[in-house]
Amino acid sequence: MEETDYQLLDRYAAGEEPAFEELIRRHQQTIYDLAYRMLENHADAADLAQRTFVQAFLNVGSFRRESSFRTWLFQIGLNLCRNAIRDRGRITHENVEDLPLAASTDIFDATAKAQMRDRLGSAIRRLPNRQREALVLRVYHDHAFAEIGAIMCCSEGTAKANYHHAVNRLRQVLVGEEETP
Amino acid sequence: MTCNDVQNMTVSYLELDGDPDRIREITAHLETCPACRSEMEAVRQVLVRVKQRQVPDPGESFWREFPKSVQAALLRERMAVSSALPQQRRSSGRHWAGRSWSAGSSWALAASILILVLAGLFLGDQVLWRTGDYPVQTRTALTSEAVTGGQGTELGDFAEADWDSTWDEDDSETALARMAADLDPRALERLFTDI
Repeated sequence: MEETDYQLLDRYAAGEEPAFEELIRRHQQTIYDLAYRMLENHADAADLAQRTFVQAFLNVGSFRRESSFRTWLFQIGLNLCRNAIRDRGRITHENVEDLPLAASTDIFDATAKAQMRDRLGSAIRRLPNRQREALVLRVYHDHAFAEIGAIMCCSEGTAKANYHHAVNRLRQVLVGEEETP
Repeated sequence: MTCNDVQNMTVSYLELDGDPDRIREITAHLETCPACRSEMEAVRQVLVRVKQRQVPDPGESFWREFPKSVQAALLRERMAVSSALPQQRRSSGRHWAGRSWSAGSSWALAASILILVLAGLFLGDQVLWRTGDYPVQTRTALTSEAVTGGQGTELGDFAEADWDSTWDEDDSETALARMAADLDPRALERLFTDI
């Protein structure tokens, strides 16, 4: 029978190094996935996933086990994502999708055009942060709304409303796409 | 149930999130309403397309090395924290030292109190004098040589001076400033002795 996260945490607290590795292996992909979906590049996602675990193990003493270890990791990861997104916002930059592409005949041209066509991706990126968080946690990580509320530090109703707004907004974008010749 | 009701609940319906009776009502409505069926299908397509978006897999070696990289980062962090602790203690000590009274600040406090006392005494003197309740002996003891116009004399020297003729009631602030500036330590000592 597989050990629970709490059992692994107890073993880690007792100084058993394998428990530490097992906890990371168990959750590394979901935390990386969350980070990638929020930050959209490998380097930032890898860095953020690493920092999430570091923060978790540095502060494991303050984890009161009122939620699952996974939910706690998501809380830490999402907070770090918010900080990273906020820091990015301080750097003014042009939206590359709005810039005209230089004439090109190579594969880059085809890729760039494909990305420009990806209105859904662009629409997800442009969602307000809270809506995007609710969407990511619900669609990709199958969290219940109560859990999403716990991770986002809001009520279940607020989490649900954010998710509904996100889906409706994406729906509007896709309607626009279908109507565009 | 109206079309508007149904279209407001499309996400909940697709998530099967809601009262079972409400879900059944929506299902019944959809069977008879092509417009709502179309809307429901559009939202379902959005969710399907969102769900299909994949995160590129960083590869087996990345996952294999990841716990080690966390361990190394954690070790660095702990070392940084432990090396920062004694520094923090030192700096908090400095902070406390910065807050504590230095010799300079003690003198500044003493000088401030002295000036306030003098100002209080002087203003009290003015009030008493104007109301006519001022005892002559006290009045002479509180005046300074600067007010009387004497130079380098002790307080006792101007006790008998023509105090009234030299005092300018309209310029009490200047007189106070001059008093404070011209008083020498011995005069001050006398002043407090007399008080």
